[in-house]
Amino acid sequence: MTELLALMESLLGFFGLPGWMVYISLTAIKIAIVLLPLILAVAYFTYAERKIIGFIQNRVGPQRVGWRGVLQPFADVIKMLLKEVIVPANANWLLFLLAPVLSLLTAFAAWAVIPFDPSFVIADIDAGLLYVLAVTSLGVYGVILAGWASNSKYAFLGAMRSAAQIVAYEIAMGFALVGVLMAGGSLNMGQIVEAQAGVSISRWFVWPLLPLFVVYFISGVAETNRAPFDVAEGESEIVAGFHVEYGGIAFGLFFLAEYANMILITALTSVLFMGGWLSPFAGVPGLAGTFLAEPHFAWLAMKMAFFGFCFLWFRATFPRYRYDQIMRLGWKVFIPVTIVWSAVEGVMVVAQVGPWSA
Amino acid sequence: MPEIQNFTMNFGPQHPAAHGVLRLVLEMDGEVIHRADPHVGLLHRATEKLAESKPFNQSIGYMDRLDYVSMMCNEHGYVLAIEKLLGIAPPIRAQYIRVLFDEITRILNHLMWLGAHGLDIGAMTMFLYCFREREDLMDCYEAVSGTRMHATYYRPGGVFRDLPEEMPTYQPADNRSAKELKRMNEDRSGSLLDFIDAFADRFPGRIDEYETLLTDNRIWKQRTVNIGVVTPERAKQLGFSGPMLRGSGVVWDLRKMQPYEVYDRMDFDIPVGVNGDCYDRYLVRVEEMRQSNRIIKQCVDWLRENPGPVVLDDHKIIPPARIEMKDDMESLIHHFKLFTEGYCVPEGEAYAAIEHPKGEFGVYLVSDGANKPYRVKVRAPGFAHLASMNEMVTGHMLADVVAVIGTQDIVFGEIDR
Amino acid sequence: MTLDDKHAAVAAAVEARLGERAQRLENTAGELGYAIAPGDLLDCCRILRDTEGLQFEMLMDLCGVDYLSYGRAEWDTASATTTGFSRGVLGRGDALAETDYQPPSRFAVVYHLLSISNNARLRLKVACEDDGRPMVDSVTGIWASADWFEREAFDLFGILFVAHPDLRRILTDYGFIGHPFRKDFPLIGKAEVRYDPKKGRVVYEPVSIEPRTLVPKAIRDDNRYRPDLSKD
Repeated sequence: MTELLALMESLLGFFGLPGWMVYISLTAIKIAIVLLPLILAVAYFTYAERKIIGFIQNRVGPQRVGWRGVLQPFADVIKMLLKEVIVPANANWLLFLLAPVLSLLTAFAAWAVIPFDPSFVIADIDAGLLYVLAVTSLGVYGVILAGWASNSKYAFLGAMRSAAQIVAYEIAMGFALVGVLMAGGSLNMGQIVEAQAGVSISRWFVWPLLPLFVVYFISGVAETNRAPFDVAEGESEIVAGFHVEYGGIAFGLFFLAEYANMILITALTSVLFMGGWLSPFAGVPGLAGTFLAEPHFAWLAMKMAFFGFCFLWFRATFPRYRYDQIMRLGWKVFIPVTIVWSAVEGVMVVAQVGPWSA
Repeated sequence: MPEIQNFTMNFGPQHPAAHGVLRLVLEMDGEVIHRADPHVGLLHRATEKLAESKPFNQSIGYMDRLDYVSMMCNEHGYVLAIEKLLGIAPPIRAQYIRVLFDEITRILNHLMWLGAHGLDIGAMTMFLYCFREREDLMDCYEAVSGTRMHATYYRPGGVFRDLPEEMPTYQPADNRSAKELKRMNEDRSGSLLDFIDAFADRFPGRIDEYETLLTDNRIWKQRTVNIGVVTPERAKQLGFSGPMLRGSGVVWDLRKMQPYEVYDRMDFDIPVGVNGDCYDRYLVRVEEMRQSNRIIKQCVDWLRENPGPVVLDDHKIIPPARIEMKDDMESLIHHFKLFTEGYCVPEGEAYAAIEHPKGEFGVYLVSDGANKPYRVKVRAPGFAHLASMNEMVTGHMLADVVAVIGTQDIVFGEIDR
Repeated sequence: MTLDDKHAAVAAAVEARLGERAQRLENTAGELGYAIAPGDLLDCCRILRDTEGLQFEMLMDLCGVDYLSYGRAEWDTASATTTGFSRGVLGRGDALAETDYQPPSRFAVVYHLLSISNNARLRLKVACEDDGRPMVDSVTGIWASADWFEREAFDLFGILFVAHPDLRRILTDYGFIGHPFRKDFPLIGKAEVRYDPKKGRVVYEPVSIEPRTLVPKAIRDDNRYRPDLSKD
C-alpha cells in the first residue's frame, strides 16, 4: 500500500503538479480506496445479515439473484435507485432531504482516522479518538432532522427516542474511551494500536479494560440503533421510527449510514480493545517470521467480521428493550460502571500494577 | 400560557403490531399512555347475518374464518350448538378425533401467538421457530380435510371423514437433495396418526427450545413482568376467559369444569398464573402447549386401537356416501334434499361453549324450526379481552401497548366477525 | 330435555329469590333460562350476581335478537304431501301455529351468565317494550364486560341501553346508517362504495345489485321432534 501511494505521488509529481495539488489528489485517492470497499462491505454486510440470520432462523435467506443470491445487494440498490423519493405533503422538504445526507456524511467521515494497517490511514491525526467521538455523535442530527422534517408522529417519536438514547450512551462510550486513553497514553489511533503490541494477545486492552470493552461494545450497538436497542425504529411499535416516511434512495442512504456505522463500531472496537491490525500470534515461539506473526490488515478485518457477526447474532436472539429500560441501562448501569472502572484504572496506573507494571 | 395538550396517536389500522386491523387511538403524555380507545370493526363481515341466510351446514366454513388461527375450534363451537338443538351426539371415535384436532388447533394457535408476541417484543427468531412446527400441524389439517387453513372438517353428527391412512409427501425439487427429501419425508411414510405421534414426541423438545430463548431472558422478563396486570376479580368482571383468566390465577377451564366430547377421559393439568401479568400469561400458554401435547398423545393411542364410524348413520342430517347415492333411490333423495335445502333444526335456542385456545368461544343459536338458523351469535373471547385494552395499558408506555396486544392474543376475524 | 341436577338446584334457588319476576324459558335444549321484564332487570341481575349459591359473577355474552320474521318461511310448502317422503312434511299450518313462539315484542336482549363459583350457566332474556325505540337498562354497572357487548347490540340492532357510559357504534363503519342485523335490513346492505376517479375520492352509492335468496328458508315439521309423536 505504501509503495503504491509512493508510486502515485511520484507519478503526480512527474506531471509537474504543485505540492498542494499532489497532496489533495493523494488524499482523494486514499478516500476512494477506503470508501469504495466500505460501500461494498456495507452491501455485503446486508447480504451476510440476511444469510446469517436466515441460518439462525432455520431458513435460507436470499438465493435467487446470482449464485446463492450473491447479487442480491446490487438488486436492492438498483431497486432503491429506481424508486421515487416521496416527500410528504407537509414536510419541510429541505431538512427532509438533508437528513439522510447528514447521516451518511458523518457515518463516512469517521473513517478518516481509522488505521487499517501500520502504514495506511487517511488522516493520521493526534486527536483521532476525539475526532471519532465528535463525528459519530453528529450522526444523531440526521435522525432528529429526519424525524422532525417528516411531520409524522411516528417519526417524531422515533427521533425523540433516538436523541435521548444517543445522549445517554454517548456518555458511557466517552467514559469507556477515557479508559482506553489512559491505557494507550495517546489519542492517536495508530499509537493506541501500537501500545497493545506484545506477546500474542496478552497486551490487548480488552483484558485490563474488560468492563469498559463490554460497555463500549454494547453502547456501540445502542448507538447504531441495532437490536436489542432499536427502539428508534422499533418495527412493532413505531413502525420504522424516524425513517418511516422515507422511500427510495433517501431511505437507502439511511440504510447505508446505519450499516457503515455498524462497521465503524466493529472497526473501533477492534482497534481500541483488540489490537487492531496486530496479529494474535505475534511473538508466539515458532511462528516468528512467518506471515502469521506479521501485523496485517487481514487481522483487523477478521476481528471486525467477528464483531459484525455479534451484531447479527444479537439481533436474532434478543427481544427489544423498552425505551425507559434502555435509558435506565445507560444512565444507571453503564455510566457508573465506566466511572468506577476509570477510577480503578487510575489506581492501577499510579500503583503500576498489571499492564502498567513495566 | 399555552395549554399543554396530550399527544394523540393513531395506532393502526395498518400497523405491524396491530395483529390485523386494530385501530387504537392513543392519548399519550410523551411515551406514557393516558387513554386507549380501540376502534374495531374494520374486518366486520357480518358472519352472523350471513349464517342466518344459509342452511346450517353451509356456515361451517364461515366459522373457520372467524378466528383464522384456530379454525377447527370455531367449527366445534358451532357444530356443538347445532347438535345440542338436534339432540344428537357424535360417535365416540368422532369425539376423539374432535378432541385431537381441538388440541392440535390449540397448539397451532399458541404457536402463532408465541411467534407473534415474540416478534412484537422484538424476538424475531421466535416467529420462524414457531412456524416450523406450525407447518407440520398445518399438514395434519391438510391430510385430514384437504386444506391447510379453513378445514370445514366438523359436521353436526361427527366429522367429515376418517383419518387418512397416508400422509402427503414432499416431492423432489431443484433445490432439494435426495438426502434432504428423505429426511423431510421420514415421518410421512405412515398414517396420519403416525405423523402426529412423531410430532408429539419431538414437540416437547421444541417447546424447551422456545423457552430457552425467552423464559429466563432478562429482556423478555423486563418487557413482560408486571405489564398489563389484571386481578382475578377484575378478570371476572371483564368477562375474561381462557389463558387470560387463568393467567390471573382463576382455575377455570371448560375442558375440566364443563367437559364436552371426551375431555372427561383425558388426563391433563390446567396451568394457572399468579400475578396476572403478561409473563404469567406467557407461561400459562406455553404450559398449555405441553398439556395439549399430552392430550394428543392419549387421543392418538386411543384412535389407533379403536376403529369405528366417525359420523352418525342418520341420513336426515348426514348425507349418504356418494357410492350409495349412485345406486339407491332413497339415498339420492336424501342427498338431494340435504344439499339443496339442508336439514331443519327443531325450534329452540342453545348456547354451546367450548374452551377455545383464546378463551370461551360460545355460539348462541336460535332456531325457529327452519333449515337456517334464525339467529347466530358468536361469543368471541377476544372481543371481551380487547374491550379491556384501555384498562390494561393506561399508565404504561407505548412499547407496552404492543406487549398487551400480544398477550391478549387478538385475532380480528373473531372480534369483528 | 331436562336440566341436570346442578342446574335444577340453581333453578330452584333462582325461583326462590326472584319468584314471579323470572319466567322459565321453554325450548332451551337442557339449558336454564329465564325471561325477565325490562323494569326488573337491574334488580334481578344484582341478586343473581350477589346471592350466595347463585354468584353469577361473569357476563359471558350479551346479544340482541330481532324476532320480526320468526317462524315465517320464505317457501310456502302448504301443498306438500303429508305422506311419502319420510321427513314428515305436515305443511305449514295448524301444527306449526301451536308451537309457534309468540315473542312479546320485536326485540329482545339475551344475557348469558356464568358462575365460576358454582360452575353453572344461566340465560336471561329481556323483551324490549317499544318496537320503535327498544330500550333496556345497561348492566355495565353490574358486569364491566357488558360495555362492548351492549355497544354491539346497539350498533347491530339499534337497541338503546339506558345509562351506558359510551354508547357508540362499534362494528360498522364510521357514519353508517341503519342497524344491519335487523331482519328488515337487506343482507346485501344498502350502500356500496367505489373509487370515483373524477372526484378523486371514494364515494358511497345505493347498492346496484339485486338481493337474491339462494336457498329459501323452509320450516318443516319433523315428526321426530314433535312432542306428541316422540317415543318417550
